[in-house]
Order: sequence, then structure tokens, then C-alpha cells
Amino acid sequence: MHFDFNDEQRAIREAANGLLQQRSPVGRIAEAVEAGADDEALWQEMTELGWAGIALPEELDGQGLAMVELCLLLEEQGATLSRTPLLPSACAGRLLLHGGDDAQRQRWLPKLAAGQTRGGFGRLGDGNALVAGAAGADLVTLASERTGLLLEVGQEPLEASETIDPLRSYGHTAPCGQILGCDVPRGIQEAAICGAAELLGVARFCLETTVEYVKDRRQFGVPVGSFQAIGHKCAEMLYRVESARAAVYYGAWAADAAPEQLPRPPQSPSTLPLRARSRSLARRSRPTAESASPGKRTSTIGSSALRSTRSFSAARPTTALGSAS
Amino acid sequence: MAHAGAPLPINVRGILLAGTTLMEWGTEKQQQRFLAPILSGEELWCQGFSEPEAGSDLSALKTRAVRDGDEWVVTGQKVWTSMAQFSRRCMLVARTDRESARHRGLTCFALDMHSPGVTVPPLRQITGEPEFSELFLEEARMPDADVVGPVGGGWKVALTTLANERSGLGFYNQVEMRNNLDRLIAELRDSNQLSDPLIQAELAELHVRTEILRLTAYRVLASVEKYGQPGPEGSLTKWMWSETNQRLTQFATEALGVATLAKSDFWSYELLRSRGNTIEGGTAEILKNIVAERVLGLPKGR
Repeated sequence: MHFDFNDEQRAIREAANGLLQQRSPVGRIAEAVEAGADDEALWQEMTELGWAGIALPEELDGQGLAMVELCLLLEEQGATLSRTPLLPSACAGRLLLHGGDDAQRQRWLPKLAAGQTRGGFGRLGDGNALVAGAAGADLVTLASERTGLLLEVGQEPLEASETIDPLRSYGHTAPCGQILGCDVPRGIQEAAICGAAELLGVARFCLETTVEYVKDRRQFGVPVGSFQAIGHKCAEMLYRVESARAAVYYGAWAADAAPEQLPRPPQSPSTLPLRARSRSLARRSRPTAESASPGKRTSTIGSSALRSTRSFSAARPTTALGSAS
Repeated sequence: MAHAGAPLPINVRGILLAGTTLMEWGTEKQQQRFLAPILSGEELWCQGFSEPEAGSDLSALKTRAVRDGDEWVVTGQKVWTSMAQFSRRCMLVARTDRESARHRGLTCFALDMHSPGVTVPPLRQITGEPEFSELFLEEARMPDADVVGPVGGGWKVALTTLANERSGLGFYNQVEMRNNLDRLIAELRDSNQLSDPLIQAELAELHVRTEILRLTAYRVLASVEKYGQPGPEGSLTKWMWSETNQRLTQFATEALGVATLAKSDFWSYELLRSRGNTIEGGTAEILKNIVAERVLGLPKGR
């Protein structure tokens, strides 16, 4: 049993890290944020590399890899705060892949895989749905825990919404569209894990830049990072980032290898990075960009149970809290 | 073993701490002499590190060993020595060079606890159990053959022992904590409290933390197997466990109510015992220093 990546996955992560670090320095992020638009040149490059379809099946023109590889890309994207449609398109892709029927999949997924088409993603609740990645989206998927809708965006784009997240475009729509009739819970589960993977990257960014800053910033003649009051806070940030990492990697792995082990409906993988990230942000000395999660947090107990996996033979299956309440 | 609810092996310190340290630092002769009785449980081991004035700052220890022919004469006091009263051998760290500063003048020994000059008054803990002892050494003699690792190289030997303590015990502890959480859930079900949303929210929090500790422990294990050492997550498991275990025992007594105060109750013992979790085997504060300085590379400060 190895709870670690294989060589191919390592290579993907390194390649993604190399490209994004080079193409997306902090100055360019500020430009994209200022312009209020995605980094089109970077997105172009990413789609040429096949990132948009990395976890879609080959018969639908994807790369035929899976959630673990997709999540590695999303983490790296989060870690550079790059502004691209990768996450909302990926979420729409997961919803369609599992929730859509053959016709819906055939119609949209090859185009999503090629990056010609962009997907938006929103949560169904009361009233209008807030849609992440709304600008330029050709299709939007909307989902609640069990219901999914596919909205084809015609000539008229969605009405834009202003949010506090400068790293993505948002819009809103009335809850309408074609019903997604297949395995919507699995689609939304995977979308939640995707969101968590990107947030893990954002949390990592906060930790890395904070550590860099406290080594550099001097007061009382020494770097402020030499004070335990600061050092312990940084250690706690690492604690939370690594906790989130364990949950996200497990979630991505289980989505591929043991989907029945994931809770239905899912929440757990996305709450932790959110918390880790908000704490990381709160600790930063300089203000930074805040990005909202595509998913809404709820506190139902059944949804936060991450179950154990059969391949960890030494571990006993853990109690599913949801069944008890 | 932990899954089955079995207690820790009686010689856990021998297997996990002394055994692994001897495998890395012991001579072939020492390995042949000591390892088999460790495995069979014939010779229990304890760990003579902490002193009244050297706890977190282990390198400040004052116990002295002086060479006398082909023997060493050791004098000093150790404290919080777990299971010392039952142990046949002690992995002892002593200062062998008074001139060398701090961690440079230390040496490790495999002390025979039956030697004249070794006395072990037990110390009673808040749980009422004497899990550990003081250890007084008054001119106790040790043969040269019982030096473990190089003379003056005791600090590195001790670090091996401490690293094995944190990672190895952490693995057992996370399973034991899962067992205790399952036990709590069962008891709350029996007392019809599982539908309370406040109880649910806290159980969910504990469940997520326990799962994350389990996954992190597996990541550490995979990393050690593959690369020979744990990644940054290796410094976190003991800290995660101690914090979560204290939270678990406190919540259990709050949720189950006054009955848990009875001395015979499972949770009263666990509540009291868990208070030491953030102290034993490296305090939470020292672990944070280690993470800040060695993992994140922040400048050393005081």
C-alpha cells in the first residue's frame, strides 16, 4: 500500500508547476484581476496541453486520466492564483460525465475536453443560482445534492454578478435547463473534490508567501519569523494545509478507485481547505485575493463523513455517522 | 493489534525505541545480545532521557558518566522514566565530556537496571497509576561494551530514538483514538443523543480529524518506505493526535455527563490521562518550534 503518487502523476504535477510558475507570476495575476477577465493566453496554452480534458474518457476526446491527475492540476493552479476557467469547466465536466445521458455527453464533453467550450457551475438553492465561470460559458450545470440541470447558454450570456472573488467571473440565472438524469450525486461529489483541490493550492500559496514574508520582514533588528508568536502561527498554517492535503488526495483517489466509499452527498473534502485557507488568509500580513468556493458549506453530519477505504488493509472501516442520525 | 483493542505490547519501548535505535547504532554483538530478549519480552526497556532540569531542552542534561578503566561510572537523576520500575535495561543518555558544550559531549548507554547504585522510586500520575518513575544513579557502573554508538555521539543516537517514538507511537495512537471515538458514538447512541445537532457537529469534527490523522499517518509511512524519511507531514502526527485526543476525551465527559466522573468509568481515566498528551514525547510547543524551524525554515529564535 502506497499512499503516494506514481511517477506519471509526479511528472504531471511538476510540468504543471513549471508552466504556471513561469506564466503566472504575481504581477500577471494582478493584471487579470484588474482587467476582470481570464488569462486567455494561459488558458489557450493549457487547453493545447490537454488540461481541459485530462480526466475525461478518451472516447469523448479526453486524455483518459482521472480525478487524481485533474486535482493535481487544480492544486497547482490554485497555488499560483491563476485566473482561468479550469475549475468551473472541470466541475461542469464532472456533472455532465456522471449526470448526463449519452446524448448530452456526446454533445458537450468532446468540446469541453478540447477547451473550445467553457462550462459554468452553480449550486441550486432557493431562487437564482450563482454561477462560477459565467463569462464566456457556453453551458452551465446547476446542481443540488441530488438534482442536476444543464443549461445551454445561447446568444445571450448570463447576467453578471459582482462577488468578492476577483479570480473568477460570476453570473446568475434562474434555475432552469434540461434535467440531468443519471448519477448526479457522483458528479457533484467530484465537483466538490475539484473545488477543494484548487482551494488546497490557494492555501498553499498563502502559507508559502507568508513564510517568505516573515523571513524577510525585520522588526527589533531580527526577522519577525524568529519570534515564536509568529513561528507557531506558521506551524499551525502548515498543520492545516497538510490536513487539507490528506483529505483532498484521499478524496481524489477514492473518486477514482473506490467511489462507493465517498459519502453521498459529499461535503467533507471541501470544508477543510476552506477553513485552512480562511485561517491562512487571516494570518497574512498583507491583504490578498479572496476567492469563493463554488460549493456552499452545509453542516449536515452525514455529509461530512469521509469513509475509510478497503485498500488500507490495516485500517478498520470507520463508522458512518450519517447512518446513525 | 490496536484495531482489535489490544493494549500496547508490554515492551513497546524496547521494540520501538531501544530496538530500532540498536538496529541503527548498536554493534553486532550488542544486537545479538539485546534484540532477541526485547522481542521475547524477557528484558523490558525504558528510556532515560528527561531530567529535572532537562526536559524539552534535553541537551542541558547533567547526569555524568566518567570512564574508569574498562567501565563507566554514572551519577545523576532522571525523571518521568516510563515503566522504569519494571525494566531490565535503560537507554540512558549521559554527559561524558564536561568540557564540550551542550549536545556534543553526550553518550548513550544500555544501562543494566539491576546494577548497584540504581534506584527507581515510582511517581504516581493524575490517573492514580505510577506509569513512570524517578531514576537515581549513584556511582552505578556500566561496562564499556554497553556504550551505544560513538562516545560523544549520544545526541544523534537520542534523536533516532525520539524520531521513532513520535512516528511509531503515532501510528498506534491514531487507531486507538478511532476505537475510542467509535466507543463514544456507541455510548451516545445508547443514551439517545445522536440526533442532537450540537453532538452531531462535534462528532463530525472529531471524525474528520481522526480520518485526517489516519491518512496523514499512512502518508508518513509511504514516504518512509519510499524515500527513507517522512515529508513535512511527519512532524504533524504526534501534534494532531495529542490535540484531537484531548478534545475527544473532554467532549466525551461533557456529552455523557456526571457519570463519567466515577473513578471506575472508562472516560474519567481517559480524560485525566489525555492531559499529558501535549507534554509527553515532545511538547506541542516544542513540536511547533520544530515545524517552524526545520520544516518551514524560519530563523531560530528564543
